[in-house]
Amino acid sequence: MVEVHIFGALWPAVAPDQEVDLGGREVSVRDLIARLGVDPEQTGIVTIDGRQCRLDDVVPPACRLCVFPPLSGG
Amino acid sequence: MKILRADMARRQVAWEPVPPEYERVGGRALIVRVLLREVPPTCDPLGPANKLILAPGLLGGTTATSSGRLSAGGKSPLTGGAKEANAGGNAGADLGRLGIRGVIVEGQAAPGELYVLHIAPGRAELVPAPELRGLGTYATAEALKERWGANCTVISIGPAGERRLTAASIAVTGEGRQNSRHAARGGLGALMGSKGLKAVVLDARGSSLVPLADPELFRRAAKRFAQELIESPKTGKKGSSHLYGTAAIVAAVNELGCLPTRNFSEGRFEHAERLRGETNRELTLSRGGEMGTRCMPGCVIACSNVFVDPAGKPVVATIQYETIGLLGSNLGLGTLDEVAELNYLCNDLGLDTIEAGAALGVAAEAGLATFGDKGSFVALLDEIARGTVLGRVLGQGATVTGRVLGISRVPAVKGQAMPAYDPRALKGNGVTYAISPMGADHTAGNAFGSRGEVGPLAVEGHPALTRKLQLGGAMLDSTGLCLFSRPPLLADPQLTVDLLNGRYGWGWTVADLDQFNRQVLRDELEFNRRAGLTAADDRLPEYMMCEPLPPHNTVFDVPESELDKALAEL
Repeated sequence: MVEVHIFGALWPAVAPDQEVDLGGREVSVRDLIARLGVDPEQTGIVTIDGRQCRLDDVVPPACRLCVFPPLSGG
Repeated sequence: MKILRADMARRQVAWEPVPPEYERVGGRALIVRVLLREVPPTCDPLGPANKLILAPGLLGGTTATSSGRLSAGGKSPLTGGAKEANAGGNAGADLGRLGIRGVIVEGQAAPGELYVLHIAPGRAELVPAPELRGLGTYATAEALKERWGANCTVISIGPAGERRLTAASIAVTGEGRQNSRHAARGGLGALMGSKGLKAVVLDARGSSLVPLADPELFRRAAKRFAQELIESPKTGKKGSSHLYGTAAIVAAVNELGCLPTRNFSEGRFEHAERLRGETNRELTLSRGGEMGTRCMPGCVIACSNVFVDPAGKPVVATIQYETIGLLGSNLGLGTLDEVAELNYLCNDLGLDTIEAGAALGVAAEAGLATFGDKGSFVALLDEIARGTVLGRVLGQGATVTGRVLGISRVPAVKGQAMPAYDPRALKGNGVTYAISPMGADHTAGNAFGSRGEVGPLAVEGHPALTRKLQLGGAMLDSTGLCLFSRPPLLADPQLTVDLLNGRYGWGWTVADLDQFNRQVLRDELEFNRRAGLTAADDRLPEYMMCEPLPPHNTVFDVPESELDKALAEL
């Protein structure tokens, strides 16, 4: 089960917290985000278990996926 | 444009035409130019030979959005090197409209004397102000606005600056209720205090917009700049900066494991959710506060807020990410109300919330306060307010506090505390902290959010990234442009070139701008070298290289050779 958290400016398009069952399929971060109704190109930092990942990375079957909008530090 | 010199020893002010060597520099670039030409690099930062420079950026006073930052600078009492810190508010735009390239404050007033420098179109005077002694920055601004008019802009120091505490900041009033912006870093409030200068009052009434060499070029570039910011997913009306303020990044920094927690001993805070930008927005709006407000005229980003207490009474404007990190999670405090209370106390004392938060964290590690217990930190700030021996130690910042209390886990570089990104889990910032001439300073080249370039935990690839970020920072700080306006400017440097050519008619190219940015960094590094800083100062504290940071349990392991390479490439 993938625990998904969507943050900030990506609301309220999708529920901020949800669980997704990948059903044993290999899914990229990009595809999973898109499936949730978020345009992957409109996202900023995405993390898997606290580590920054790329949109083309494969989502592990059990993990915590956090999707942030574009952010500026300061 | 003119240079205004204030000689504090003689109580004289003098207007000068801008000399050729200062003609094409502003803000941070002007500061280091003055340092190299006029300040003995080995001088006592709090002695008469150092100078305090207050300067708008090259675009200050124009209609370009987000261009009104005020730069303050001099030889830093904290780092011992060149320092520029900048603030929003109205001062940068006012100085530009007053036709002032820079205010250079020289010498020192006689012991016990305190002055206000009042500046209006074409005139300036030093006014004795003994009645302001000991006043906090809020009361100082209020008293001076009562005397000189509500529309004046006030640049001031609090008791911390008067006592020459090296964690002291310089406060600036801004638009609306944004009445306490701070040029916080580097102890420049102490430098201002050492001059016997309590405040500068800017009365720009009757001044006009600055002249433009090529109005059409400028207008076209300014319009495009504003439009790109408005349409940006970061800075537009639906973007995180506007909706949630700088606190928008709390959750991401926490998730990445680099949010300073309990004196930089952990990178993730269990109460981070209560400190997030999303929480701030919900709480603030439900109480009748303000979100998405401007700190300076005409800014289209509007990332500020007015944080109010449960009764709807304003506490601070603005509550910011760095403050939340250093006065919140770093002290184990998990509510915005607690952070706001400490924030207000620091603002009023005229203290850098980053330096103060780091010093308090070190003090807690030494057993003088308890992580998670707000009252214990309020008590320590009260020590600073009362000027006790302990307060004077804490007010010197994290490094001195650690030395006095025997704590070696001090998150600082070149004597200056780290902002709210632990470099063990955001290594790009560690590289910037180490080699920036500014010391540990997030505005010098913040790697947070550089998602497509170098990963936060990556060991390689940093020299090119930090160079790009530091050059960008030099450009922003010299033009008066806000850090958050960075994306369109870095994506297309021609935009900055057009703004400058439209304003001044210099006929610059992108290559000229790049050379300008590089020269700023080179000049700062040269001043630091002459001041006695060495490669030993370009390193992170030792414990960060051997103490793993949870949750990723990583250390800062970018090799020293990479740091030296990055420095050589600046």
